[in-house]
Amino acid sequence: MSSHFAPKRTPYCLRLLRLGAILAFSCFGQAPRFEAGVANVRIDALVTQKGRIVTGLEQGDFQVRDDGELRDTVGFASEALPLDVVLLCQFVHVPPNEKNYQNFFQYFSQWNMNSASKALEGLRPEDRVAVISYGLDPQVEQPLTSDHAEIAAALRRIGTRNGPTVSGAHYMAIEWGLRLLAQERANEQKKGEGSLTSGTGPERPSRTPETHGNSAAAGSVVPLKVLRRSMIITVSWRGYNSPAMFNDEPAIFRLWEENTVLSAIISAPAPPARVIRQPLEPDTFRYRLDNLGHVAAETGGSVVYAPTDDFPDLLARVRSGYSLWFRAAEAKPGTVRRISVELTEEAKKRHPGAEIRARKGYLVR
Amino acid sequence: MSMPRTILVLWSMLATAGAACAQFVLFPGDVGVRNKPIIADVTVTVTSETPWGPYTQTQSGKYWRSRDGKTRRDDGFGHSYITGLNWWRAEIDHDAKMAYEFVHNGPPDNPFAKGSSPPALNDDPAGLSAGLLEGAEAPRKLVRIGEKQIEGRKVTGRRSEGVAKGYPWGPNGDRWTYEVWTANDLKLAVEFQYKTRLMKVVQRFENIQERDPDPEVFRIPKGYRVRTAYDHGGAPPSALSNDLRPLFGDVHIQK
Repeated sequence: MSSHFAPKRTPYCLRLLRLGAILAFSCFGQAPRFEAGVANVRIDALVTQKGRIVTGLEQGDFQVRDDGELRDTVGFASEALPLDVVLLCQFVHVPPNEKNYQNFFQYFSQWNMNSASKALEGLRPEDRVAVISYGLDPQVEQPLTSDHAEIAAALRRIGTRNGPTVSGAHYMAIEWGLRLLAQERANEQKKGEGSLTSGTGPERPSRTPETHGNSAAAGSVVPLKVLRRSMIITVSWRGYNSPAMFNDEPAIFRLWEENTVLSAIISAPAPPARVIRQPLEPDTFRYRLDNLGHVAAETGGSVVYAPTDDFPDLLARVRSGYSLWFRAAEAKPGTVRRISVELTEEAKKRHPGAEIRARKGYLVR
Repeated sequence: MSMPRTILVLWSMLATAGAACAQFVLFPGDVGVRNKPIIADVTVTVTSETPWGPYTQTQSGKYWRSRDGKTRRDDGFGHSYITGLNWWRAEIDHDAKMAYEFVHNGPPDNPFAKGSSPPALNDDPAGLSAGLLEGAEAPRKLVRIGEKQIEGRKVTGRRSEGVAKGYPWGPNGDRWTYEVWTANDLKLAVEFQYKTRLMKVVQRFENIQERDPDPEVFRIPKGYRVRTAYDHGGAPPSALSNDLRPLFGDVHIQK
């Protein structure tokens, strides 16, 4: 750095730091401290009771288990955060020679776009949305923007198209979404290290952008840049491959790596309600059959079957989670660890029947 | 049959078939082939161009086939998919020690019965005509493209190409290609790939051994929890029959 820039930069940096400190403390109440040189894992947990989001919980109300072992949480945050959302919209497929089906599928297309719009109803001015369409190959229709008119225009464009799809298209679209988010983070980081409005929360400010996402800081105070959360919403007219060719795990692991929640909106023709409403728990048959539902459940996201389900505020479900940090297990890099979050007995008494939605694992780095 | 009901039935069938295929190994057409026994490794590689650079993913698994046509495919994530005779099949999660078992006891004209469509069993060992690509323009015809050696075996190649066209609202011009290389002596597609404009998926069978697998590999391991379903079990239609059969019973322990 040229020395003559120093006098100008110092006050700017100081201002940023000061503002950062204020924001950090206002965001997180008491800013947790992390031990230097230790990789921590962040897990965002949403707590609901009878469908309503539970607020006001504290660090001591949670228990985190890592491969079944109880872990101490070393950090906690409980503020609603802005979102970066990537909307992945699958074309509805109208076979070109099936004239009889075209009205039917046109109806589906409208259905999907309505679902996408509904998913974004809870957008706030500080949130950003990107739109990617996919049939055979993905296509970025709209980079991240806060401009609602641009988002709506992208959705309208997709709503007027259709085309074939292929096994694996879902997973490639998810990868595109993750890369788009990662690129945006890298750009923001380049624009201004420590900029308060930048970044989707590299939880480890001391690390490079590409290692962002899973673990928390090896450093001092809680990172100032945990200011946005990342989310992918898929809107597809079926939630599974036909025939399925890919395992869900690679997509799940990538979403874990990037600490990104995936929620799936699945349009199905006249879904039989009694089966569709089976819970997507690991012990149910549908858990793996419904690929996108399975991926969503593993990342702490939601599954909405359109049009039968009541449409929850998907954004609020991610925005309003609690962030917990715990020390990563010492294991070979790439090892899959299963994690679970639950309320303590005391907290359960205060919130009977409360449910927690959080990602179900992480990969050791 | 009204259109919504047709769609519902079709969707239910696909959902049920999807379970059988919920794996990275693709070959429904291989099921029931009475031929040489096989033990092999399977690798699937996905490559793609993205605006942010290339993407590559490789998955590895294992494959067994018995002389009488039972198959088992294991993926790299602790799951097994076993297909037995008379369309019995099971999906196993070894981490959870849990299995879902499907028992077919339907009438002979059941769409899942052997010899019916899908899948085609003979010149389409990769099951391409069974609808790898969704929709009516899935490749119906595989064109022979020659012969070569893979893993020391003579294999015959077939290809099918398609271009999206005639769509009322686009997109037109998207191209896809399927290519399958079949070892005729084994009746097994030892190499298979499909390509779109940006993505390529290649599946290969490697280290192929022609020997009988241990019969135990085709059974659900003892002590595992099992839920059994009777798919299309011949039950008469009822007010609640528009469900996604099969429905599973209570959990029992495999003996």
